[in-house]
Amino acid sequence: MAAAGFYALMAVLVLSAYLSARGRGGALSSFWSIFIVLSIALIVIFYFRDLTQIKSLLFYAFSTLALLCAFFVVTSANPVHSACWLVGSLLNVAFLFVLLEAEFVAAVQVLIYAGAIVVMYLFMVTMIDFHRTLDLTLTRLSVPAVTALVVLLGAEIAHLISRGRAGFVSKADAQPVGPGDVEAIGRAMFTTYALPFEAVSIALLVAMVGAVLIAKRKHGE
Amino acid sequence: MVYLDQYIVFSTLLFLIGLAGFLARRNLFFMLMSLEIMLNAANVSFIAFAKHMGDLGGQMFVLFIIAIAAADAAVAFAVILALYRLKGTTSVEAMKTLKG
Repeated sequence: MAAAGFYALMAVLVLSAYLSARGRGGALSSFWSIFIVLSIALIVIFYFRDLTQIKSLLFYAFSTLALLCAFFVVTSANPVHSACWLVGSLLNVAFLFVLLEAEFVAAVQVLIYAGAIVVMYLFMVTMIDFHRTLDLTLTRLSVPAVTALVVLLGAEIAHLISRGRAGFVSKADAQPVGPGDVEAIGRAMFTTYALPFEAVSIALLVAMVGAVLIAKRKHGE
Repeated sequence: MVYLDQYIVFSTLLFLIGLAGFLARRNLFFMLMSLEIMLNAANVSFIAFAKHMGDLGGQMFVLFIIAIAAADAAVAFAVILALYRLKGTTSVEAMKTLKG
């Protein structure tokens, strides 16, 4: 019964998202509808109390929302709308991480991915004049070619998974993960993964210096 | 009870959406957005396998992927800005020559 309610709410969300894409409802209204759906999801969680019964439902809800938001990222003509839909997709994937018992990674995703990287994209929007670009939308020739490629790739991956050749034993969600909390990740980060940690910090430093150097205005400009 | 299969299918679909967006859009900014979606899909796959195999290494790798994606987005931003100053547009149709 709750499943029917969830799907009805998602149908409302899809309709509002469609209307916003047509320019009727506005992207803000569909963003609010996502927010409302997620709030109702939280209320339903607290009502049910026993999360193991509802895990499948939550997975379907959040994964559908994430795919929907990703679809609108890709097909928006307005770059700010695209960034907003990207935030929606990242937040839904963070919920999926919590379902997968990786709470620290979910928090890092919200803080850094949705909180810093997308903000940087919005800064990009302020510095680039999108009205002077040649075209913002999909070209006429590329849509069928890309659709064919994507369908072929999807069929190939589905075939591999169904034949069991993808390299993993499916249909088993049995083994509990080790503790995914901050202490375990911190301990692993500074003992086993100390070298990649240092390497990533050097990579971030190089990226910072390089970005400033590349984007700097040259003399006489 | 959510099986590993379902997470892998979801990760694949998300990756394909990002891939289609990357190939079909003709503007560098939207291609960057699609790239972020693809990285996100790989992250989901990593975390799903980390839970399935009981190994914390999948989550560690995702942390490193997020950090490197941030660095990559910063450098891509700088490159787009420089190209925009040079060509006056961010459409890839204008980036036809190797000559800067």
